[in-house]
Amino acid sequence: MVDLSMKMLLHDRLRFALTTFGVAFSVMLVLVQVGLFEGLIGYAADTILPIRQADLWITSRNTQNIDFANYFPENLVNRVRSVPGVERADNLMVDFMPIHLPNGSSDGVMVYGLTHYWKWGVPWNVVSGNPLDLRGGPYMFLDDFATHRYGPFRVGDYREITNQRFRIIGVLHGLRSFTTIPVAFLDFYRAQALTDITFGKTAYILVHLSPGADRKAVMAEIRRRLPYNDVFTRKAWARRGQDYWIFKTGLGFNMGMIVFLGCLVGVVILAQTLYTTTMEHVREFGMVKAIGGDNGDIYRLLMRQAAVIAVAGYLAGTLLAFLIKPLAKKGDLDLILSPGLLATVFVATLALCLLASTVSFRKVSRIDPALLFRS
Amino acid sequence: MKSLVAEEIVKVYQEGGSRVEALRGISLALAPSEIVILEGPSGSGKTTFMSVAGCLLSPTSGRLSVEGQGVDFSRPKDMVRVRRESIGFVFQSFNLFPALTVLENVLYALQIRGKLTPEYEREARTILEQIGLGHRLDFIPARLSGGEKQRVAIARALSGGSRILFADEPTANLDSHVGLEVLGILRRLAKEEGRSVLVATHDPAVRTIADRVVRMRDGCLVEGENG
Ligand SMILES: Nc1ncnc2c1ncn2[C@@H]1O[C@H](COP(=O)(O)OP(=O)(O)OP(=O)(O)O)[C@@H](O)[C@H]1O
Ligand SMILES: [Mg+2]
Repeated sequence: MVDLSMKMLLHDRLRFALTTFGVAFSVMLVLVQVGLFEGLIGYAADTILPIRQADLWITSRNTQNIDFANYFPENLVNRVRSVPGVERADNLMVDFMPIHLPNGSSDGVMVYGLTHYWKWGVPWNVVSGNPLDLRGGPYMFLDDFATHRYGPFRVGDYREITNQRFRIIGVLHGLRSFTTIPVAFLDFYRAQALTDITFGKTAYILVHLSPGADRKAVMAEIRRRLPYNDVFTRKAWARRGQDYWIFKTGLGFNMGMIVFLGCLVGVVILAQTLYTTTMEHVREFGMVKAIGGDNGDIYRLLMRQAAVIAVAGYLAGTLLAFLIKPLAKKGDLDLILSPGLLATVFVATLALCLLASTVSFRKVSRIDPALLFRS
Repeated sequence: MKSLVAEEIVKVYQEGGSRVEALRGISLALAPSEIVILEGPSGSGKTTFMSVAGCLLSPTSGRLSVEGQGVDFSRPKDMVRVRRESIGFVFQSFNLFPALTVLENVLYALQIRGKLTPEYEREARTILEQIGLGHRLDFIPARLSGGEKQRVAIARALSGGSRILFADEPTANLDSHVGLEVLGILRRLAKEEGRSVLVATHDPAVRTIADRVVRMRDGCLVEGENG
């Protein structure tokens, strides 16, 4: 087998390299963009999915995502506890509060308060301190991500949340809310008492099902007993918050646009290079016809070249994306390159490259071998 | 049996308003082992005739049969078949594949013709050796001299058992003594292997190998001459 397509590509190595780089750049752009987006969207579930014990979340009616809590009477939790199939149900407070910093400035903090931390494995990312101590007074656990916004802090320091002093008794790691507002864990009742609005109320109820309980039946029964609330499974609740950010903020559209443009630029660059290459090799393609080849032989050759460029570009682009991953981490962004994403981008790259190669087909079909007679 | 018979070939180029009658009823036959030279002033229609007889171009009217089989010009597949099975071209400007080595240029032609078999490959190597390229098999065209390039083109044209060779100004880009070498090869291919060769040229030196010289003027054959 004489592989003319490969030999042609390798005959002009510089062009091959540049074309491959063009594709690689597009692949990298899409991977990094979607990967960062997946990372970012993942943050929106950072305080939901890790609470594995919470099979169900009860929210006030039509709450869009965890950061925008609405409040309902805290004693509804008792009704939930009496539903058959519910093993445990507890109130969770989530509220956005101003926090005052030592340098005189102020910022925001997402305050979380749970009545029985130890039963839920919350918080799950303790670096130092014992969450059981939260009950003992005006104390809080603060995630070290807060350093970015609040400056350095240590266990034993005090910070003021709405003019009440809280002592930092523990440090958490790795919690990054979608809004980048740092998360602090307080005792439920102290969190509740921070404002009048939440007096006697809760933001959410976490539900843990008994072993073997029929989840659907339990949810239906909760809906019946709490007609002014919504009930979600943990995953659905996480998804709901993510969908909010994706679809209601234009973020999804924005990402879609960039992905679209990345693909478009890649395809146009490639189509244009392949077309110029075809034009330059028009004599050779005419010769293929003179030898007895037909258009199909030349189409196959062009598609093979496009496929080779696609695979090479994909590999190089993926490599670049993996090199950027640690850089993103330094910027406190997670670049998530999931197998699904990698596979999708591979298939799309191949398909788009083949598509780009068809731009030259018309030209090929019109090649007149009589041009070979010209000197 | 003649290897190629062209009868009353007419070719009219019609582009926009202009109309060029390039061939006005050309009849010509090629026998096995025969070398025919096509002469004539520039623009007389030599290249056009070769394109039609070589099934690269459909005539406006006329009939062509190649190795006993009529060619249906209304079916491009039929033209492709004839090019694949029976005909080889050699051009003034060689038209080799620059990315392929000497051997690969020939093997690729076999591949396109669906004849990449050990027998044809052996034959291709033999031809290349016979025409003095045995030591150049792994060279790419850029490293060959003009005469060597044209010899590769000849080997490629004949690969896969093509019995008819069309050469348009094969010596025009070569020094005269190199041209003579190439002509010697064409002659040997005709006389020893029984192939038919049609050469269009302005080069008087080509007459030395001719069995027959045919002159064209304004799309007509003007005289026949037996050599
Ligand atoms: N594609 C074309 N479209 C229109 N006219 C053409 C085309 N090809 C050739 N002709 C015309 O047909 C006539 C014959 O041309 P052709 O190339 O066959 O001559 P030729 O004998 O090979 O000339 P030369 O010795 O210069 O190679 C010329 O008048 C030329 O201008
Ligand atoms: Mg000519």
